[in-house]
Amino acid sequence: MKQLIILFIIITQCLTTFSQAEDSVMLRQTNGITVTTSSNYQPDGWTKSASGDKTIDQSGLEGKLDEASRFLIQATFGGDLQTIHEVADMGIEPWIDKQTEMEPSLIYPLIQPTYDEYKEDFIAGGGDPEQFPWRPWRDIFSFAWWENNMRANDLLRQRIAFALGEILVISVQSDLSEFGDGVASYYDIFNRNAFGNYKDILMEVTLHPSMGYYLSHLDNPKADPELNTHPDENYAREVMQLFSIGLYELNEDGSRKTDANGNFIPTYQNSDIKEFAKVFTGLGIGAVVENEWVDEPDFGYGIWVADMNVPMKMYQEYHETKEKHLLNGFVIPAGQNGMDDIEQTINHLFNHPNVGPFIGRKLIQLLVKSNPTPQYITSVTAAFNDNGEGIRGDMKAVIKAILLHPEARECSWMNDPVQGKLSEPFIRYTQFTHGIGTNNPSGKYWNHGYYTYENLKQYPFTSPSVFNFFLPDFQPNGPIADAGLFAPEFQIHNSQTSIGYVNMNDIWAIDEYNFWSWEDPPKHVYTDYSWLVEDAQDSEVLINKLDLVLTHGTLSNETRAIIKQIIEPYQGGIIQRMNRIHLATYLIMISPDYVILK
Amino acid sequence: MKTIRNRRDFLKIAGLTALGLSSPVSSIFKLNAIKAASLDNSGRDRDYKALVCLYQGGGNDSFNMLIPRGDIEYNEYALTRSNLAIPKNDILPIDVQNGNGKLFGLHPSMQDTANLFNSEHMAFINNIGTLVQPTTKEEFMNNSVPLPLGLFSHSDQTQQWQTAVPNQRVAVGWAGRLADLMHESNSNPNIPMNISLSGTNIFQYGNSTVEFSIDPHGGSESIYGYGADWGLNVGRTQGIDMLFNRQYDDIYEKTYIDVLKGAHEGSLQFREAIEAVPDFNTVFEVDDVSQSFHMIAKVIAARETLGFERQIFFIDYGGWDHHDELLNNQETMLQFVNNGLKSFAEVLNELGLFDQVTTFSMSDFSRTLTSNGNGTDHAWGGNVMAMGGSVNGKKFYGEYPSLELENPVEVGDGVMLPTTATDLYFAELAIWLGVTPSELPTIFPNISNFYDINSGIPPLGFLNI
Repeated sequence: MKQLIILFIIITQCLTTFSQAEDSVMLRQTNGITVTTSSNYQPDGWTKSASGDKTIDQSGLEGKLDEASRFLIQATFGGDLQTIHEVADMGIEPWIDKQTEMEPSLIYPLIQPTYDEYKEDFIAGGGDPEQFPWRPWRDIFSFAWWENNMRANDLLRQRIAFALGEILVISVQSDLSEFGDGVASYYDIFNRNAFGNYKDILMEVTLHPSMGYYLSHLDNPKADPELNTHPDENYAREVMQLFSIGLYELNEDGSRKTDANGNFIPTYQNSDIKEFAKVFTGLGIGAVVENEWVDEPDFGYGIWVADMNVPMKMYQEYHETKEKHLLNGFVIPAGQNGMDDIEQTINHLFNHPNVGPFIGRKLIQLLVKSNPTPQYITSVTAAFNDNGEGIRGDMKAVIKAILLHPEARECSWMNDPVQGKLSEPFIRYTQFTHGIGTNNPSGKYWNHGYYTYENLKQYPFTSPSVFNFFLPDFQPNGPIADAGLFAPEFQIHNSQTSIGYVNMNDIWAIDEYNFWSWEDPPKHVYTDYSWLVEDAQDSEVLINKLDLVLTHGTLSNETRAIIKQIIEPYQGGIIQRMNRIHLATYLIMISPDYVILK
Repeated sequence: MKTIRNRRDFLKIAGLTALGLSSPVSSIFKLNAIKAASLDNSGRDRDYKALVCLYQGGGNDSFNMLIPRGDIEYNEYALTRSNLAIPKNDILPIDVQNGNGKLFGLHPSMQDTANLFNSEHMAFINNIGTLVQPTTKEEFMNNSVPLPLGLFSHSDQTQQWQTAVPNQRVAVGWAGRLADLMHESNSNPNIPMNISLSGTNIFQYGNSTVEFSIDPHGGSESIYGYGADWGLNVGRTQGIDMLFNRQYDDIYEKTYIDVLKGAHEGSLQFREAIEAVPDFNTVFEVDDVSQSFHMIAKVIAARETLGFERQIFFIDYGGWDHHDELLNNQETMLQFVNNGLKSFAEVLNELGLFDQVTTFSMSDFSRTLTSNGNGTDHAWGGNVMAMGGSVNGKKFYGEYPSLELENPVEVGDGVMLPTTATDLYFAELAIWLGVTPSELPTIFPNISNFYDINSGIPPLGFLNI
């Protein structure tokens, strides 16, 4: 029987060589690395054997697993051991390709069944049907979101969709809180098009009634000179400022262009917004749900009776048909059908050279790191501009460019002091949920998320405004701002949420409640530690398992020593082992090692 | 470089330079000579000052809170409000010094509030609401001027009362912007200037500051289990201490831990300081409104220990969306408000700080004058109140409108078009707290639509500034 020798390496090993010419033993000289061994022990889940020399020469098992784990932290909502092994076995690029071929898992189809079932439970529990909301509201969206998230296999697509929803933002902090179906339908734009084309995303967003309501281009009539009214400019502004070209002319590497005097060059003026506003006139709801007031949709109805899954349609009589002068001399001719105007306008914006670097940088920040180099952005811009087959805006090419770039994949970059990002609070939660795993006796993933939102101040589609939870150029006070660097996620890391996050970990990691249910009987979803109970006999093994899944092998010596010191005294049977698991998981989750992704 | 910004310079701009001014404006501006001497190097008043915002979330029906009592006006009120009109004999009389002889009164649940008003410690600002620019009824009906976004929508109107930006949805509140500007008056690095009794809110969210949340009963949010000696808490506490005491070279890690550590230390410090405050003589009721005021009083009492000179407190008292059962609901809820204000005024006098704390109310909107059966629906202009020793009380500010339907400021269903913009109300509170008129546009982007910041006169006049 081959003796298994398992080497625990503190800093992730890589399959690609470091740029330095030293041999792999240099790891011992790198800060804080120690190499220890533990033998005669085979943890569950290790199906392959590893030998010492393979680990030292960086081709061993641990390195591949850590690398896979790190990739999953960037590219999904978090990976459990099984998924980590899958990615390690398959290889990252092949795994990505397989993922892009999968059918999308959608949220909207779950809305009505969830609403119906929740209503049945409500009535069965003695509730008055008259008091039940007549449309699915934000809680139903939340339930459906989690039902989809926990069962979906298209892990990459789901994560990319979430990122897109942080760029083209709507929020339930508005009347959309009563239209969970509209929110779900809108969200599915990104689920369906995550590997599609960015132009399609822009068109679908433009025509969706949820966005029409949120940025007020629904029921937006053309100008009336007698009454001295003019079209609403809200969508016209944000479609440029946030969804396509941004405020300033950009180079391909994301840097701002400057004029002869060294000033930044605005992409548009206020007068341009007024021209664009004319384009987005005449849109009204496309269809109505069954209701007691009207049978047909019409301009001016708002969303109250709208079928939120049907795109807005053009009511030509309310559309501005005069010529519109857009950017860089582009003119929309007079007399066209409103939909043609919109399509040509979206196309015009889509083809602006800014889109690649502007959207590219935002996606890099959301997935990989807050301060990408100019070279990184240039690569992503290039992929956006041409996917290799002459197509512009191919999201699959963009995503691959982002995730396969050396700055995302190579471990040498992990040691770069500028490398890094604060993981978004909600992603820290989902990573825990998926990485550790859950146990769900009720079979329902009905997470209302209120405590989560209260404490983290982040939850799908709950941002305070169209500007998302944090801005791409946010600079927290201290060494980050001093160095001229950006770190968007710190904008919501404050005296309240920092403690709120720690306290949520008390509930998730120690009390073992992952989703808290208000129902009677409750449908709690519990944290599942069963796969760690055996390992918890040995503190080091336990910490290493958690390190793989949560910190992809980068748990520092210092934090590791702290945790070991805290949990080691709990010696004995099952209760003591659970104590170890609770404390170790809690402490890792709140440590900077976990929340900062390098 | 700090420019000298103080009340003296403000008055110089106004053409008023010393005590004993005889111009009509002087009765509004009262310069306290003792206070003038206490101005510090930044130009701001070294004496403690605080604003306390009571947000009546949902839309308070404020034309049943402040009611006309004269025969003609009461009859108009009663006709319009039909089955929701408060009986004339139940209205608590108030004596309005600048009422031009018209008679007014308060809702029967507000006895102590009436006393505060009659003692010159409270003022009402009438028919106030969100506006982008001064707007006439015709302009509103024709939609021919920019109007606030989402009029009649809770989320939008709440946002606008809290952000003072009615023509965009922004996430930063005006108290947040005030804190961004003024937080250096406070010496405490761990506890922000803005304190919320109701969790996160837009009002107090700034560009570089956020609010510190405390609970009316238990004090500040802290790390659960830290410092406790049972079960896993020993290991938890030790582990957290060790994580805090570690060195972090990585700038992201360091930033993460520094914020958390500061919050943690702030919460411990806060708890200790509050526990050391001796009990007050003033009695507070047990409901959340009164207990929120009670907690605020404790924080104010601990201000020197905690290093505060300027603070803004926020209480979100929701539930005013009385589409149903207006009369029953207001009877109870206005009672809670009344009791809270009464006790708070009392305890501030106990602390000798009644002049230095101004309490003011806000609400998303008022409600339709006409009844929907037993309740009212979303409207717009309404009445708010300000209380404190600095208030030029026993007076109305703005214009109490006619409550007859189809009058020049009624735009249908008894929705009142505001004749006073919220910007003016907010600006006056900000000036009192220490903002100079020239700084106003950075806090209130639309202020110049309503107020000439170089005029030298106060926006409304309800405060001693």
